[in-house]
Amino acid sequence: MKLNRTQVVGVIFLLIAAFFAAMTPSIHVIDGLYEPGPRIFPYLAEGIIAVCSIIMIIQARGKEKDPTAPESKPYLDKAGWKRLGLASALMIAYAILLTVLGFLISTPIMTLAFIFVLSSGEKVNKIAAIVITAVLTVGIYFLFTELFSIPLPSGILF
Amino acid sequence: MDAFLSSFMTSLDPLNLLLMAVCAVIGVIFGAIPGLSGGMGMTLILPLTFGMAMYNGFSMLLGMYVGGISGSFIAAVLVGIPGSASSIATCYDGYPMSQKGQTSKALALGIICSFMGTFFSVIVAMLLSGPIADLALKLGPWELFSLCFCAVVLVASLSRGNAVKGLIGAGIGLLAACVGMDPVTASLRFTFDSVYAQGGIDMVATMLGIYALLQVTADFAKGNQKLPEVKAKDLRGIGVTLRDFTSNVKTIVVSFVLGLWIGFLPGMGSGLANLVAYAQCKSISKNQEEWGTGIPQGVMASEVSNNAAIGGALIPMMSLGIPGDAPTALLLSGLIIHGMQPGPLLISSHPEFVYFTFIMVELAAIFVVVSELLTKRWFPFLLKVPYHYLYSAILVMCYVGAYTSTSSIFNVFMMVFFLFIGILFQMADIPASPMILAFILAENLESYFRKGFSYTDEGILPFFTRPVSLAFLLLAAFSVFWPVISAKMQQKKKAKV
Repeated sequence: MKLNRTQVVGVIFLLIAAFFAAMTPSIHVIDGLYEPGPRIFPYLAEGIIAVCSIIMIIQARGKEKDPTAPESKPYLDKAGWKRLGLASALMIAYAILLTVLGFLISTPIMTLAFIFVLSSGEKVNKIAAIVITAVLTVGIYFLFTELFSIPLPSGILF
Repeated sequence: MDAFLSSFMTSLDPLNLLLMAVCAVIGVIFGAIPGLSGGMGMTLILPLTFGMAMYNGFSMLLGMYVGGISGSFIAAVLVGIPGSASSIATCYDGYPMSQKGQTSKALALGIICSFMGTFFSVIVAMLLSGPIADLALKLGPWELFSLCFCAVVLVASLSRGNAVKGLIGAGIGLLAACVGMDPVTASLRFTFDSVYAQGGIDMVATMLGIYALLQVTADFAKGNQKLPEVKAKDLRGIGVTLRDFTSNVKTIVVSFVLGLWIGFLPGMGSGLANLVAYAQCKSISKNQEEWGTGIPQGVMASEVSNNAAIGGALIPMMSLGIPGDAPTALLLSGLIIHGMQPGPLLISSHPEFVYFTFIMVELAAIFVVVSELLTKRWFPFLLKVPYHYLYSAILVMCYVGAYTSTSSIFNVFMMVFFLFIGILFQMADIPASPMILAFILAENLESYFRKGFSYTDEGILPFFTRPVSLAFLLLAAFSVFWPVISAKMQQKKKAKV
């Protein structure tokens, strides 16, 4: 049976609820409590997610054939999924680079990458891109570290 | 009165005024550009406020809030695309007015109606917040739990018309808030032996991921990055006369009251207010057939109501600690970061802060109306900003914000994680606002619930036997089941006909 996009999400959330429900009994409960304890809210949240996900999966049955339902159209076309994959890869890459190289090295690299990728093939003024990257990096760095004394990631290599 | 005067003087501090003005202008720009919003701007500057004195930080946040909601009509009038959800209904008549050559008038109506909505709704908020907080102080943990529970369920069931999807969002918010130490006995939950997770998932990282990062990523993936060209000319002058307002008092009053009320209801805010007010004002209008063809009443209904929601949203935020919409949720988290406890005690324990907020919103509204009227002719330039530069800068700000919120790289990864949760939400059309509200209220919800058990030996019974608590629970149940009952009733009616 082929699932539509709402049903796929329903299954994912059902699995998330099941995973956390399996973890919940390991939460330590202090002896002699006069109240439901720290497991009650996780169970409540997992229960809501699980029950509602099942209802959502059932409600979305056959909706892909109903032209008025959002499920009749794909969330993204093939090119859209590729763009989403590329953007997601950049997001993860920046998080990793910030951890390893710190703000001052990773930010110019990633800002330029963002500008060129997000331009979607449109012509980018290289000088403008470099100026914006430099101003953004230096501006944010001084604003946070010097003006507000808020540290930015320095990286694990330095 | 002393507190009011002292707050008034604090709000007139030149640095506070300057920060408010700068952020109000940025807020108008964020509001004007489709895809961005004042709320997103607030999320981006929130981490910046951590290192500032509280009043300076809040001047920035409040300026951005007012500017963002006001500015959203600009793109709606100029290109027929709402700057944010708060101005969807403005497109219905604002854009046709523009096409008829009345762009200047439509923009002026948007500017002045936005001001009226904000200014008068905040006066109402100032008058009502105190009495509501006094009432709330008489409530015990049972009633407070039921009130917060009712707020979450109301948002879940009403936010996009599908209670089941709204409840999934609320469930995810509750589960995310469970990570870390529990609020009563400090037991560790779902930390997977990570020291960073012991402090819980950070609110700023969550909001940056599910709003800002998602907006940029989804826009890029869907290819929604280009705006139509603006053809408007001759935007000089004010463009409206006093008669435009005096002849439409009914539209202004009805949309104001609706906006205020919808803003007051938790989690709904201006995004819903403009649509409801437009529909309602149209239905009571004598010239219904002209609505949608470019009449001033359409712009007035939408813009008065969405800005009136600001005052409406501030009432539950100040008096109960429950955010009326996403921007007030950010204000609440700003409050918490600066060491204040939102809730019914806020007004009596920090009256100077509460008055400061109201006064600063009023000053921001005055600043925005004057500056927008003076710069109206340059509005078309706002929509020419190249998205790839703007979005790149926003992305960098997101990462900086997520990191500086708790000085932990763990938060940056959590933000990216919530980007993926946001993509799943979009795929299934699950609204994000119930998740955010549940996430914010989860700690209070849980502690009220568990305290309710500890205070008596009657277990869960007092939640149902105390009348106010029962009333909130019944309202929550009603909001979930009413769409089902009403659909069945309509089916029966149709069958009879």
